[in-house]
Amino acid sequence: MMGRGFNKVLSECIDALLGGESLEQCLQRYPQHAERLEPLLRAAMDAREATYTIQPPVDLKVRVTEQVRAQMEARQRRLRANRISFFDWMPQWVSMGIIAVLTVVFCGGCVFAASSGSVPGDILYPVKLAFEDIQLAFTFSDTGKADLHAELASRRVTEMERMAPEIDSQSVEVLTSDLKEHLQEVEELAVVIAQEEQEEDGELELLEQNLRRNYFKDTDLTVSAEAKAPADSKDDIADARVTMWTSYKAVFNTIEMQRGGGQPAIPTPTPTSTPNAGINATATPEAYVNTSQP
Amino acid sequence: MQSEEELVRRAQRGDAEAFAQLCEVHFDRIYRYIALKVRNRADAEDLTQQAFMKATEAIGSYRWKGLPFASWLFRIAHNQVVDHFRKTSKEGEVPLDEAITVAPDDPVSITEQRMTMAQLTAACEQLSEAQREVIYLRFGSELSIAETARAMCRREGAIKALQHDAVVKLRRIVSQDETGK
Repeated sequence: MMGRGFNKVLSECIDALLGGESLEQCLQRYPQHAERLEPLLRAAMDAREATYTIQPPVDLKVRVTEQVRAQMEARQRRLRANRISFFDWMPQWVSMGIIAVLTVVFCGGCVFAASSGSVPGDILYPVKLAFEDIQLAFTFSDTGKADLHAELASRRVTEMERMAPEIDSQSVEVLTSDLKEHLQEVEELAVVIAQEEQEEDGELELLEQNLRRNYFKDTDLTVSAEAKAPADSKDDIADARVTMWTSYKAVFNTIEMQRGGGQPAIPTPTPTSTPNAGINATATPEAYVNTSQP
Repeated sequence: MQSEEELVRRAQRGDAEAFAQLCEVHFDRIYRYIALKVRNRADAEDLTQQAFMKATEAIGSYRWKGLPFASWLFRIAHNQVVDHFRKTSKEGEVPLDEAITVAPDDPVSITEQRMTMAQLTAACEQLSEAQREVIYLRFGSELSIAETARAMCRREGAIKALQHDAVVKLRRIVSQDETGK
């Protein structure tokens, strides 16, 4: 208890020092801890001073800022070309709401049903993604959102498998990147859920069970996709599987850490079909994954 | 001066200027964090550039709730470093490239500096990975406890404990070095 209290005091003093307060001021605020605090605060400030000898080259900052600006502008131009300009001036939630209502009124279930089986490259695929965004926008609980993101991540793998016989590298990349983003969202939401969760809720437990099911199913689907894919896309799918494992493992690690650390219980994928074609023999999740990767 | 939240919202709507401003605000901290980890100037420059380009691509998926923007950026930077080490398999083996440090203009500052970057790097080698990460994020990048917690996917209490252990250990290592001289 004492240790925890001291950790808090130390943190507050370090924050104060980083904010410009002097060492003496900090020590005066906690006279009862002054003797123990002083050497630690000095060490902290020495460490800070040492790190401040690292400064980025000025031209690098200018160059990167310019590249970032140019990339954003180029992306914006691409998006504008594909978007209805009427919605540009509105906040995103208003335009999404209008799109939702219009879609329901004019197209409704028929379009949704037709788009649900679409894959990247199909005319209805953007409609499917728009429906997903609407679903996410109208899902308000963190748990609901996390479940939906997990489902959408898995959906990308299903699409990869469905289009495997004619899949190209670009489609694999698009699907993998979307899958990764959804799993990153799950990871971030898992932290929020853990912090808000009461002991008896078990929401994190349920989320983890869902993810574990998806993890095995998706591993099998990528193996099946790889088997069906044209020769020049097999390696891309194998890489996508490694990215998928990495992302899943990051989520499992985060969930485990939220429970208070310990050894993460990472499932080992056991694909039902042969996973060897195009895969590096060392490409197990454990070989590729880092503990705190988002 | 606009708040960071407003800048992020504008950037999410595609405002390049807003994202450029965010980039400028966080640039030094991200560079310093990456440089501390890769210890090499050329790699630090490349990875910083890649981290911001990744952030540009992913800004649309960023959500305010539950994750401060700085933590989100640092997680992207962390991922870039992880990918880098995965490709080069050099983590923990890289000696400090002195070119990443800049000597202070003022000679008095040099003599007053009690711990050099080389000493800090050597001392940090003896810390656990999580303790080292806390030192880099808290002192190198000046993230708050809350931001560090979110960047490392841990609770704030755990970060405070890690910070305490790291500083105690750092102090002990440095004093032992000084006594040994």
